[in-house]
Amino acid sequence: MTALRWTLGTAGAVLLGIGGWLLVTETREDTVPQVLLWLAGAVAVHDGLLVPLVLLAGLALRRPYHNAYGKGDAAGAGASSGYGVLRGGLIVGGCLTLIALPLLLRQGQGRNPTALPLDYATNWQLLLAVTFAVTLALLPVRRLWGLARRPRGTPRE
Amino acid sequence: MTVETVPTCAYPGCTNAPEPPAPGAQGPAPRYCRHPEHNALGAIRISRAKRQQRKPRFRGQLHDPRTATVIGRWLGAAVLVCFVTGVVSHVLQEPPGAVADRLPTRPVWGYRFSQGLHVASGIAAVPLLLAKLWAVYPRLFVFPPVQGVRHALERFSVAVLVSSVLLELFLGLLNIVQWYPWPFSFRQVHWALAWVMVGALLLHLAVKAPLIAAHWRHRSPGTRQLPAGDAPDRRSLLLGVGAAVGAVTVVTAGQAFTPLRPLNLLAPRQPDHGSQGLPINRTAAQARVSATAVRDWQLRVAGPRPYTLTLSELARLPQHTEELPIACVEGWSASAHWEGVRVRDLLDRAGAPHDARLRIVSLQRAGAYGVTEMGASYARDPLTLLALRVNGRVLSADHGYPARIIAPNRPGVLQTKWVSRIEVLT
Ligand code: HEM
Repeated sequence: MTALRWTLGTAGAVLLGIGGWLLVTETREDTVPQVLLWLAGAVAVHDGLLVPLVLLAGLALRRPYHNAYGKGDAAGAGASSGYGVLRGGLIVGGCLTLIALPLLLRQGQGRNPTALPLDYATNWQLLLAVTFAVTLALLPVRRLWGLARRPRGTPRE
Repeated sequence: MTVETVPTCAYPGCTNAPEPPAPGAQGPAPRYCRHPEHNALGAIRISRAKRQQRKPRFRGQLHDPRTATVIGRWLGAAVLVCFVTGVVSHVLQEPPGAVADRLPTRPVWGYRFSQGLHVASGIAAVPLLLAKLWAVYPRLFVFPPVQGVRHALERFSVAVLVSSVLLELFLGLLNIVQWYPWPFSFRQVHWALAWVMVGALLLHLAVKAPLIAAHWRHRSPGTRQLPAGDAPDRRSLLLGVGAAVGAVTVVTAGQAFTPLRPLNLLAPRQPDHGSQGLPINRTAAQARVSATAVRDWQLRVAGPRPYTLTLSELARLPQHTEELPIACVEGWSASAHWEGVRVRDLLDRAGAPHDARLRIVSLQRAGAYGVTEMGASYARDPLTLLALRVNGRVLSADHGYPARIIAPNRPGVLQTKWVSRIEVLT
């Protein structure tokens, strides 16, 4: 384990060094500060905006959901109450939206007619509708199944 | 200055002497005493528990190392695939001198596959990265934020990892829609950050190795320490993340992977959308190929026996039809039937040596890749054509009329259009 760790760590440091060297020597002279700024910006937007929003959404949904539909099982895992299905639907819809965002923002601005040729707004809405429908259809299935079959690892009363 | 005297057990707060090495044992001496909980995992656990008391509490579940390990495995795989296929693409585009004449031309769909995979694994990494960072988000708030030099280095490497992976994925996603809002060169930065990202990933694995090992399996010691009631919830979260990976993949991969074409809803290209059934990256107008230049077109071949051909002379040479993919660096690809003269035949006519490298010059006046080089392995390959027709019709202006290069296993940017000169380099 120790030898493996040191090998991995050393290899990592070397590759990181190569990357840093490429960044400094193989780019235009003003690139390094610009890239540092964009790196920091990426983290700031992700950690300061995206994650707090997702955490807030979780806070806003989980408690009321459990109050309305029960926790499903004494273990309080939530999975068998159907909450997991709802969360899964939101993850899928959210990720599809994120992937669609650049296309939606650039629709009509393709550099030639073969770039961005599809109607992305319609396709995105269609995908959200499908996600919504699948989530709705799975919810009762999961709740009934959860009642019939206790999740693994929960003690029987 | 302190002087180390008698070593003590490495478990925090323990002052017992470490276990004596087993007689005849090799390797480093044991660092912990005989107490059954005084070992590496126990030490990690207690120092975390201590820190835990000092940081904001996240009441939600699943912000635990088992979740980080399971999602990390998928994310690590996706990121490594991205890296390897990225290096492949870089080498094919800008081969180091030593291999420039020996690049493999088979399988003909090699670049189509590797670049399609590059973009697909990058897109698949998006849900994984977000889920992973959600799981470890509370670790951002360890308190005190810096606990010594080692800890500072560790946090720095994590910051490098997170920022480089986030930015790599962001740059890639915008590049495929041909949107470049940043002030720097995409290629240079994407290339350099790829190495930074993989280096930081290996470092991360080395740092977290004991924790990863302790949570690798369902039954690993660390996993068993976590509340058993979380397991079904974790499974359900992973299913949700898996579904998101599946969804974003299925609606984008059709731009390269033909069977998924009917589901291609959120890809920047539709491989059969375009003039003559193929997409176009740069039109004749964008490349500023003038009508006069095309009207007076002649092909010049510069070599030991240089010559010039008009279009009708070129069309009277033996023509060959090959089915070859056009595979763009942006990840889309499509197969087509190309008809034209073998580059190899043109070279023989010019008396070019077998190991000659070529310079291909286009009529293009705007944009990169107007002059490209072609290594000997491509130049001599019987499938490499100077194509005059595609899918049974004369090339359209946007596809490179009067003549373009098409070669097997090659990035689209090097399949030069509007070719006017072929120079034999010696
Ligand atoms: C590119 C990919 C990855 C990124 C961006 C990433 C990011 C992170 C971050 C930000 C942390 C928190 C670090 C801290 O303690 O401050 C973390 C922790 C961790 N990562 Fe990764 N990681 C990646 C890949 C992996 C892989 C491949 C594995 C293992 C298979 C892994 C396993 C872990 C574990 C076990 C932890 C500790 C979780 C905890 O302390 O609760 N990671 N990762």
